[in-house]
Amino acid sequence: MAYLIKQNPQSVRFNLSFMMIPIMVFFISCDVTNDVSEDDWLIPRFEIRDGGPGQDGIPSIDNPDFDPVGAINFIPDNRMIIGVKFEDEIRAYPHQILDWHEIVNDQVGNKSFAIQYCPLTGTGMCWNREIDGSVTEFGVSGLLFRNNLIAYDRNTESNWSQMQLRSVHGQHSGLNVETYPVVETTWETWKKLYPNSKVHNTNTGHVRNYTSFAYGSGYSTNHNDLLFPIQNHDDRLRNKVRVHGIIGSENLDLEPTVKVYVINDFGDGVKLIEDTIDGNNYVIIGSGEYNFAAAFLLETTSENSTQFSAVQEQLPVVMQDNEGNSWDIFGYAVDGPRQGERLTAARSYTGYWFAWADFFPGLEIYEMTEE
Amino acid sequence: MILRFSSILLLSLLLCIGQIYAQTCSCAGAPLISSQSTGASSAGNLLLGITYEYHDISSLYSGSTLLEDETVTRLTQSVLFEVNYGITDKFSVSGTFSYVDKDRTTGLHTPSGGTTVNTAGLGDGVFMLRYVIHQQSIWEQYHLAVGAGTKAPIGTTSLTRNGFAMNADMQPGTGAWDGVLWSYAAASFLPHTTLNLFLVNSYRQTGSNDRFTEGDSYRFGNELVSNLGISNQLIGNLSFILSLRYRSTNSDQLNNNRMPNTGGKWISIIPNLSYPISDTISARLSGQIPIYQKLNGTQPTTTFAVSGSLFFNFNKNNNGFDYGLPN
Repeated sequence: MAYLIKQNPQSVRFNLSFMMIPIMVFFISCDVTNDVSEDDWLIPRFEIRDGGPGQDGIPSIDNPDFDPVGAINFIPDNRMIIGVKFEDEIRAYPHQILDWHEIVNDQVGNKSFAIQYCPLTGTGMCWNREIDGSVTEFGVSGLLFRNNLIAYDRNTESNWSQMQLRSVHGQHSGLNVETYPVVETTWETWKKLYPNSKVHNTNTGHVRNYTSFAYGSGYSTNHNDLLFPIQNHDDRLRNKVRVHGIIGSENLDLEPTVKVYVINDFGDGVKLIEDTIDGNNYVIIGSGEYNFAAAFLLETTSENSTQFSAVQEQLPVVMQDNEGNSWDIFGYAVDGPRQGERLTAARSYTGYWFAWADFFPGLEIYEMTEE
Repeated sequence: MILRFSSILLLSLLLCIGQIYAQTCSCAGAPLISSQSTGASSAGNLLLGITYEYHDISSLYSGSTLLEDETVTRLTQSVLFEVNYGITDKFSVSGTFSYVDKDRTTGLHTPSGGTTVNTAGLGDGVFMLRYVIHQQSIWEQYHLAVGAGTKAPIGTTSLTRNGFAMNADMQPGTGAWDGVLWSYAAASFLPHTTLNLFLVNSYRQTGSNDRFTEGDSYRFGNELVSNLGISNQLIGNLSFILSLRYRSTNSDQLNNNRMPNTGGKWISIIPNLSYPISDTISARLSGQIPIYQKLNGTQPTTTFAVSGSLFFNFNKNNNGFDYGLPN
């Protein structure tokens, strides 16, 4: 009369006693609620929802396969990809793949990472898969918090809130995840940025309609199309406006300042913003025309005294500094005395406005000024 | 002649009962009883039926394309219990109750081999009042009946996993009051052939509920089911019923927003074998073989279904049937 959870499935069940059940149903209560676990969560339990497919019902990709940009023909120019760069290895993961799998467990050299994309909140990130000294895989838990992906790690079954960038339940509860910079932009822009990169192809080990949309073609643009209720409405922007946000501190209990930058407001060309959040200095680079944004934390004294400026028409180089360095969109110095060094990624990512506002009520919106 | 006609009437009754199928919602959700039998067609007749159905919902489709996916399996087992009673020769009432057991195994591709979640509980019930417009007789060999009723949310909708309300498609009940319209038409062609032709339609106008997740209003899509079929005697008393089923459902809605990957259109073949064990007891074996589906988005759907039934028909008069002799 209750639900059971069983590892190692029995896909076919046939209960002979089942035929006796209808006689019983007239004499028994229909209250069959059972709970297995009452473990503590760091997020309000009543806001956690069963998204429907169940744990790993949305299958992660654990053996990704790539083709060169030139061999890819299933991505329209206006659809989005998430790109990463580790040294000279540059890879792109199309939303068309991520829509159906949400997590790709990948590796470059000895760097193990997971691309995580939540189609409902439009948030894409790259997480370090090495946690407490051991490499894990991430999977889709089937649970959502404020419309957003809750991942789980397969070593400990701890649950992780994607947008909170931390484990919220289980053995790793409270642990922040290390992220790597990503570039989320259109396929058209990506081809300009990195025409020689590798792109995740449709050989995923699963069969899906990768030319379609998992949540409908209008989900990313229809401001009224939301699957689950919003707890914290904020009508300063329309729901599906894409913003790049920075979380001012790793410790969410300190209620850090959160500030978002509207990607379209970066306008044509490349625009650079220097900003201070909770005492830390950041450089934010973005383009409405090319549809991307990225943010870097200036950690050292020298970085804080460095003067950065935007670079036009030299993608993927997007900025330079007064020391003669050129920096690409992933924060690598590609030319100059600091060549090969990398700026520290801010705790930042791009997503829909409604999700940012729901997770971080009262957040600030950066007011762009016309230059 | 009268004996043959009696057999055909019994067969008709069985084939109509054969429409008591658990209609699984587009997202492999709670079985919804959307088609009912014509039930007891004479005053004082009592008909009891019990059906067990095994429904494999592991096929994954995108639109009308089968996706060879081996990461998830779904199985729904249902038991339906039906009571029909003829108030008069024209009016009858029926109640159908269900018990539902669901298995969902996900993550078959993972090193752990996956996780199976099982839910079980009382399903919803359907209560109908039916009216026979025209009773089949030897002289006028067609039957027309209509009905209306409700699907009552008596099923379980509060099952949780780790304290979280499970999704609507894993709950045994739907939690909503639905309106049901139903019609049945049949014709036989004695003495030329013992073949019987029938058409059963049902329409379910769904209501919404907020019982799955606090603050959420969930509404399964409206459903139309049509069965067009034939029946005949096969060998001795063994009869077959073969029908083509068309089923269409709208997308589900959550808080008035259309739920992606729900709803669609299905066409299936429904083969039946029926056998009267005695004057009052008959048995039926049935199957469901999907032949075409066009689904909204990507969703799991029927691979196959099989069911077995026993029916108990208690006639007020031992000689049973109304021969419809002309006045």
